Amino acid sequence: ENLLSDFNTAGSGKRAAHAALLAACADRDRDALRRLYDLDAAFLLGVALRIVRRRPAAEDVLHDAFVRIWTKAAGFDPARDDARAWMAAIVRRRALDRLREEGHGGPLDETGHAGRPDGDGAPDPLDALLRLREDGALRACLERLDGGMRAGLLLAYLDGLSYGQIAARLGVPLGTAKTWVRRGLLALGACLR
Amino acid sequence: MMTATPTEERHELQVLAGEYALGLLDPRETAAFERAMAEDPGLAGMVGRWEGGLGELAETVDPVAPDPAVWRRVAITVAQLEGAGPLKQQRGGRRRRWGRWWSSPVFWRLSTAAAVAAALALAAYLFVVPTPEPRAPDYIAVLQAEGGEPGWVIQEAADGSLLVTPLRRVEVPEGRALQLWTRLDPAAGMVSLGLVPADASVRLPPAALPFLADGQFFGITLEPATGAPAAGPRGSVLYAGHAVQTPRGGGAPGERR
Repeated sequence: ENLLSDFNTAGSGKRAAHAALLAACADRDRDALRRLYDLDAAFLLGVALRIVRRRPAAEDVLHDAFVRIWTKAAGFDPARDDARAWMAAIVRRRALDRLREEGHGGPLDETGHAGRPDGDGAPDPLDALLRLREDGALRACLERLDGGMRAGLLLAYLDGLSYGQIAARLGVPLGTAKTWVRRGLLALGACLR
Repeated sequence: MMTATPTEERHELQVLAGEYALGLLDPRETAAFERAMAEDPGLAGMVGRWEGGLGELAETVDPVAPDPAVWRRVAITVAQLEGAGPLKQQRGGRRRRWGRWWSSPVFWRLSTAAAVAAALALAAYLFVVPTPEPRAPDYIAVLQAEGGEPGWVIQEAADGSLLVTPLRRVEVPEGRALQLWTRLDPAAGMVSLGLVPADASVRLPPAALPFLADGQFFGITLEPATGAPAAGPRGSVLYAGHAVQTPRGGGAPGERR
């Protein structure tokens, strides 16, 4: 009980520090950007690399994302946003754009990108479930979903797979993959609320 | 079902926002959703809630330490965004003037001859001026005039700040100012480090310059009192030089045998 509350306090302290650094970035404090980078670049490069799969592309994404973090810092609202999640969202979006620019990841690309749909050595998305906090709402809500819905959501979020790629990876028709993911989102949204 | 109830419509929007947050919409749907989001803050809020709610998943991915060069690129891009305006403008004709000067054999002949004078001035400076840090600086640059005489010393302090010190009094015409520049990346343009006083040293905080590299270019130009009106230097070059790395850990002079 005590340990848990300590952990939570430490977590919120860290969040406050991130929020303060983002606020300083909005005030054009380049030291703050450097400190944010020192804190989170490895975390964010991991997120980018999981999606684009190649180190140089992932580092390009990290560069672009930090420039966006700098230019968009004023849009961060500490009352509404979690800083790490906010930055991760910027990295994911840039990583997905990068895939699209390179010509894969689109809806017609079930087979076009060799290696991606069948995983190609990527970690099993279900491992992520076990790494989520046991007492967290996200884990509880994801565990409640049907297997296909859960896998579809995790493949989309972690690996940046398109509907077509999710369908190929799970071995189901495209329409089924879409239905699973949408139903999964509906159930997850209701559960997280 | 022919018509959706408000609740169903809301659920449909939530799912759409979730698909957008996950990156599952195709380009056309994405563009349409972004247009809708621009007009409806509620939609942006939904996306934000998805990003926040799913964000914990990102924490499950193993971190990967980036190459140090990535931060340098970020710092260069940010410096260019902040200090010097769009890169495109910097790459214009102004840069050529610097390039011409630096590739001019006359300059190099003069500056080679002047190197001895610069070294002497630097030695004098290092012994005469009391410095707060006893430790030798990692990088130092002596900026010379086109005629070769040393005019400025820039040295890196232990905390990463830069001490910019004039070696002689420079006459600055009324309504003009001296502006310090550097080139972080040989492929890019000049980045302003701000105006510097003609007759006093100034300390630039570590954040002013993201990093120093061997051979990094510094220059001082004569500009309007409020600084160069456009990206990159506009006025004439008064002093220029390159950073050199100084040996580390040499110990105090007295300790040497």
